[in-house]
Amino acid sequence: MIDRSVMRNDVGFLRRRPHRNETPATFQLSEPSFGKLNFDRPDRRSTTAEPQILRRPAPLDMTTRENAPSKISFDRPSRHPAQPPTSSLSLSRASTAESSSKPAQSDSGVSGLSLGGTTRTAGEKVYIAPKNPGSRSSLSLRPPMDAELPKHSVPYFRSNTELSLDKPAVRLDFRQSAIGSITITGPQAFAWEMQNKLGGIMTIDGKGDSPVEPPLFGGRRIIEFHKGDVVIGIRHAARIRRAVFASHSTDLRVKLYDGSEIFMPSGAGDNVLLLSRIGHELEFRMEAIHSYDLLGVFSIKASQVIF
Amino acid sequence: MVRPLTAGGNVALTKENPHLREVVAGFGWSVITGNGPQTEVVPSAILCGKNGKAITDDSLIFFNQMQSPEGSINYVENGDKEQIEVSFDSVPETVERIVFVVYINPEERRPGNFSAVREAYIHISDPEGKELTRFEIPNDSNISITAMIFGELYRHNGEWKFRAVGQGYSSGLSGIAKDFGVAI
Repeated sequence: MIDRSVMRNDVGFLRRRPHRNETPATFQLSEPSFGKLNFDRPDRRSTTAEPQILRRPAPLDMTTRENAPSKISFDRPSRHPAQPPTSSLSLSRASTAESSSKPAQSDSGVSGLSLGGTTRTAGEKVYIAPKNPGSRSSLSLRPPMDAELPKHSVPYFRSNTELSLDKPAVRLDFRQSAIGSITITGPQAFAWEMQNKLGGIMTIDGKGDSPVEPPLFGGRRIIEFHKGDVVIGIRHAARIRRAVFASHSTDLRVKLYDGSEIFMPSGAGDNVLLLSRIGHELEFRMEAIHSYDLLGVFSIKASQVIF
Repeated sequence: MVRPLTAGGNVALTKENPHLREVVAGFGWSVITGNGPQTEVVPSAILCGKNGKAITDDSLIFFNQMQSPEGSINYVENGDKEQIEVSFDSVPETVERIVFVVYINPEERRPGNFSAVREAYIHISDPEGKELTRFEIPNDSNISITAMIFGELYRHNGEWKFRAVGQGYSSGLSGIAKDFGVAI
């Protein structure tokens, strides 16, 4: 799939010839490709002291294989005792014989995959990407300055940035979102979800990994732990829908291709780092959570393999 | 097939072909593959002004940012990996050169370099596919090269010409961006 979501409208004198077997463009400029993104977020304008999760976590649906080995719980005591307890994260690794045959999945709708999709309930908030992400003058497609952004107020990343309650999110422009890879130091686990809803979770020790691994592109997992850090191959970032990075006690640092960083301190409370693909750009956002049930809180369905 | 240019050689495209209004720049290469991470080759173009520098910060254009012609029935052919159509009449006056850069995607996990790239070339054809000129990148060890200027189209006395370059950068896309004054 070719990412056409970053089309340059100002260089009509350069046109790329398509390949005969190319799939039709699945992205349209400024619109998400797989329906509307569900971007329920805690309302940061709330006056209550505790962060709010607007969407009740969906019950986990992780079918465990028989004789599943030890589970890892990433749960933390709920900060909302009045709420019904969320189901704890049950991350069971497949048995030895099965894990040895764990297939390397490619992101092409491989038969046999059970891809759970999130269901939308009535009244659920939906985020619709802007149709016109800002006027662009000829040969000057630098993302407009923050004041010019028509539909969203997330600032673009310009230099080393620390996320905080006052500044919880930052967005990478299309070039920052496309070259090389992004390295994140500090996560102990991350949940991932592809545009086609293939999803799962990986832990730093591998003991809590879900059955299906992130797909391979160019011989590399699109997202994985590598030498203790998480690496995202953003050349293929068009395939990613979102990812959530969690750490109990360590700072999270997002390192871009040019060495600049986005920093989320561990002392910022129970927060995770959410990566979302919005149109042709990647956004990093600090999200407050009341449970480290990553899959449940963000309604990411861990994909299963059906034989 | 025309006789390939050597590095530094040039061809007067529109002077030798007076009716030529559009050309197709075709890129080809093969990559030695193994079981591990692959070397990913990415073509791009930098639009430069009279001073040889990028016109704006945005003048680095990846090949997949270029729109495909509407209703086009022309597909990538002739064994090329990618083809870019260039309409001379539509090129803004401020654009003096269109520099074709090919870089190895700088992935953290074994990004690779041009030593894994074989049979790389750039050739210029007319819209009907007739090859006008060609430059074949030498298969040197290139182990330290991670980005390369393959060639460039440029204006000269009101005409358009093509120059074979073949200049490698061990500093990769960063080095090229720095040289041309473009942000990445």
